[in-house]
Amino acid sequence: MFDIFSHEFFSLLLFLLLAIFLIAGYPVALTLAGTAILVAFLGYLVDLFPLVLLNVLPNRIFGIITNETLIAVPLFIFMGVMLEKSGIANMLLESMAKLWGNIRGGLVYSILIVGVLMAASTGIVGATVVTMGILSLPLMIELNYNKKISAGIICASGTLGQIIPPSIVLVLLADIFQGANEEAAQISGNLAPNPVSSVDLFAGAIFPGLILVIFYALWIMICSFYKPKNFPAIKLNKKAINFKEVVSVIFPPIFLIFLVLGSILFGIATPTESASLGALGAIIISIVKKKVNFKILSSVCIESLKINSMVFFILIGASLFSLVFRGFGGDLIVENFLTDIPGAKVNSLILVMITIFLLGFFLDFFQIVFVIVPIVGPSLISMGYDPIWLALMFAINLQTSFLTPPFGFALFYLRGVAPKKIKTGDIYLGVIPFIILQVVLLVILYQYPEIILWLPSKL
Amino acid sequence: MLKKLANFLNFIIKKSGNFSSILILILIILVSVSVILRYAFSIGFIWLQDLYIWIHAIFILLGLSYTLSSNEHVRIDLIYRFLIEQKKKKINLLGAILFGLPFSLILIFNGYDYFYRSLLLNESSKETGGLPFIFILKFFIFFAGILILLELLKQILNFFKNNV
Repeated sequence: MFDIFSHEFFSLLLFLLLAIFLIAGYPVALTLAGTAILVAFLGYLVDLFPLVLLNVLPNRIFGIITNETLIAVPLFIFMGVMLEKSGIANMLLESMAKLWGNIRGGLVYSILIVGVLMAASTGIVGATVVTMGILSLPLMIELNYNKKISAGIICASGTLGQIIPPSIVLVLLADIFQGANEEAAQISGNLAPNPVSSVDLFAGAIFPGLILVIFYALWIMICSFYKPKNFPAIKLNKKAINFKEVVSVIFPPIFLIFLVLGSILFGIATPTESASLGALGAIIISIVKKKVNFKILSSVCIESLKINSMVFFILIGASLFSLVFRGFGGDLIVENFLTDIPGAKVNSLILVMITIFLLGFFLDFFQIVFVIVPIVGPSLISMGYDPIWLALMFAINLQTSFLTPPFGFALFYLRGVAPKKIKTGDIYLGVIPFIILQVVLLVILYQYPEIILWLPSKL
Repeated sequence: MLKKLANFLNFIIKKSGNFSSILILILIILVSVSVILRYAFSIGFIWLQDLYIWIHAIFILLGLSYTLSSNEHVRIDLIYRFLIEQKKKKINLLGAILFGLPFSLILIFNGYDYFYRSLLLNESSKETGGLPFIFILKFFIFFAGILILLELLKQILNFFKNNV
């Protein structure tokens, strides 16, 4: 019944081997590339795969690294790492806490805001969750904040940054979806598809992002109303709050982020241009605040290099992987499979969303997006889903996945830095309300896609 | 002998990484300058845009092997983090041989062809006013392959140095 020497079998084998090798723990980028080469070679031995296809690898790499839009990625990463390493993010959190500390639950709101700002600029879930975990969790425990809520808000606000512009995740997502969009247009014979740009995704993400922040804040408010003793206000010595000082700390980084975002959204500058000004601004703020020296600057450079090559190496590995997958005709197999499902349009979306959600337990954002979108994207888009809407649904879905026990990435990161007093169970229970809020948002966005699509259509 | 070679390889990778990390600063400056020229003075230079694209490309290409050597590439550590040191080393050895070497070799051979063809054609930027000599940029793709190969050889040498 099942032919071992068929394209179907080899496409399946490719994914199966990838899953096995990834679980073994070898670095993802090389595993993607290596598995693809290995299976391509096996396929070549039984005459199913033209090995010359691999010759385009350098050309693929050339295309990835000379893509003008993707230059925004290292620049945004630099900006985020600079704000973090120079201690400015740290000062921001402290000042926010001072400013709002005497409000019930003020510290939680501060974490929500700073977490979102920080994560938005780096797009790296781990970095934000770890920083916030180290900085604020001990303080919250000391003040007798509820452990579950403390852990929950740190994970939630750390992952939220993935969809709050200007996140690099959205820049990359736009690039990948643009490719999928062009292919969908070829399938359906549409010669001039509307391009998907990172500006569109930034614009589309604003309302869903705001809704989530408001959801989170409302939830905290409700909790602090019913269980006030879980949310003590900080009793600060009035003299300790120097309003001028607080504003001088809070204002520059927030101004910087709004400047970057604003200039992109109002079409004044491209994401790459804004990102470079953001990075320059981050350096200037650090110099003015006397928070930078040669050693810090060089460690920021090295850290940015590492994060960037990690991202781009995965991009290269995934590109090779999907090249081989296509070489076996895997994309056609998936397309036929998705269109053969009864009730194709709705059910294939649900199927893809669930798959992505589950993959989010094992893989980081980049691997999922780079591997999955080129495969399922064109089919879904040609079924009539709007690519901008689809991209953001994927992003929010993944963000939820990173929060979900027992495998969510954010939870691992927080566990790594959380004090022993916080039990793993506290973290798991703490994130559940936030997960429910996420799912509610996804349902709302499914029912009312215009929440996403309205703003991009006005650009 | 093995140890000396491994140390030497390590030296090359680290140096190229350190050099490359400085490129991000140059990148920030170049893009910012081009933004300021464009919006404040309405001047745009295609070659300037090409230049920062090149800087970015080289930044990434030189960084690939460096990140590999500092063990910063993401892994799925569901199982990995519970393994004993010896098992981890074996996984890394196997991965380097089974995945890493074929990838770097393909990159080197095809990358060399890609670079050499560009050199023969004396290819320059598709846009008028762009940078000439694209083969220089393409050379770095081939060179990235070499660096990755060296890094993998270093890892393999290190394994045998400690285990034989």
